[in-house]
Amino acid sequence: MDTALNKGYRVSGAVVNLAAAGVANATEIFQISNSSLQIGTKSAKIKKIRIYDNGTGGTAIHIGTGVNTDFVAVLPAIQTVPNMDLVLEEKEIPEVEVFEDLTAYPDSVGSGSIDIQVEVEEIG
Amino acid sequence: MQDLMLRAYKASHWMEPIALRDYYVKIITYQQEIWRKVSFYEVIPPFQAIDLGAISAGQQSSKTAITNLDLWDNEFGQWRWFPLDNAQIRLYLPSGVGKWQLKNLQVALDKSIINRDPSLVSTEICSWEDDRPAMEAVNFTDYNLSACRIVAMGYRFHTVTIDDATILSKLNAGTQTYTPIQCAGFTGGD
Repeated sequence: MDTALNKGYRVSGAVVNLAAAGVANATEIFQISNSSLQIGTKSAKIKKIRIYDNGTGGTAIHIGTGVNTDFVAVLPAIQTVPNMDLVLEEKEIPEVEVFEDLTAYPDSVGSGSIDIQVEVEEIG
Repeated sequence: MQDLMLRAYKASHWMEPIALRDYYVKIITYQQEIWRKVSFYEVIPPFQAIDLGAISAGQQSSKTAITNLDLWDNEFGQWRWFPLDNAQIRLYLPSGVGKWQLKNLQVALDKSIINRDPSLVSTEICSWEDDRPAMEAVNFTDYNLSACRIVAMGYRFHTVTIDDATILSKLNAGTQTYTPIQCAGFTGGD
């Protein structure tokens, strides 16, 4: 249930290029607001994901928090198709709330790479 | 589903003037209290009161006086407001006095106020003449803000001196009805 009191506002992460495969190369795709000057703690829910496969040959993209052994997936992996874009909208994304920066990595990149951008609802 | 949404101010209603024509009011500023009578008022539609400017990620703007809320002599204003951009705003009224100052925290306001208090009841302030409020903004995000804009709306009230000694006497004695107009913050403590 969505209520006005815990409703956040939408912000976008930057377009991030994932050029290296593997969980050790998980890269930040959205940074939670955590300024020392802010009042309160922020969290985020992913509301939209855009991916473009720059000729990887097709790969699985993992989205979660942390890097390497600290990586925790927040969604099942998303399969890409070479040289195609992919958009997941709010209704297709489980309403997972995270309190850490979001990270992502592809299983393989071949001779290509992945561009990814998320839109989140930041709450707090 | 709008009606089912949980809101902080369920009983909130749209803005109404705090006083009407011919009302007696007590203007309470930081340093004085003044008896006046309302002679005229008009609504001020929502307008961009100030742009606190660009703020780098994780940084705080300087405290900036909101000169656009200045009023003519003998006038007070009643304002509600909200930020358009993604920052937390602290309010001062007047510039040296923190508004919404709790014992351990000066409460800040961000644009989620539109969801939590759609009528902006909790943002309401009054100001006297050019005893202007000031604001400072915290950009809590990891990206730079190009602007930090504040939208305000409300009423301006023109007032006149109360010449009738009998009325003044009753006001001072507390036997004449009046409307208090709080035009300053309060730093707290006894």
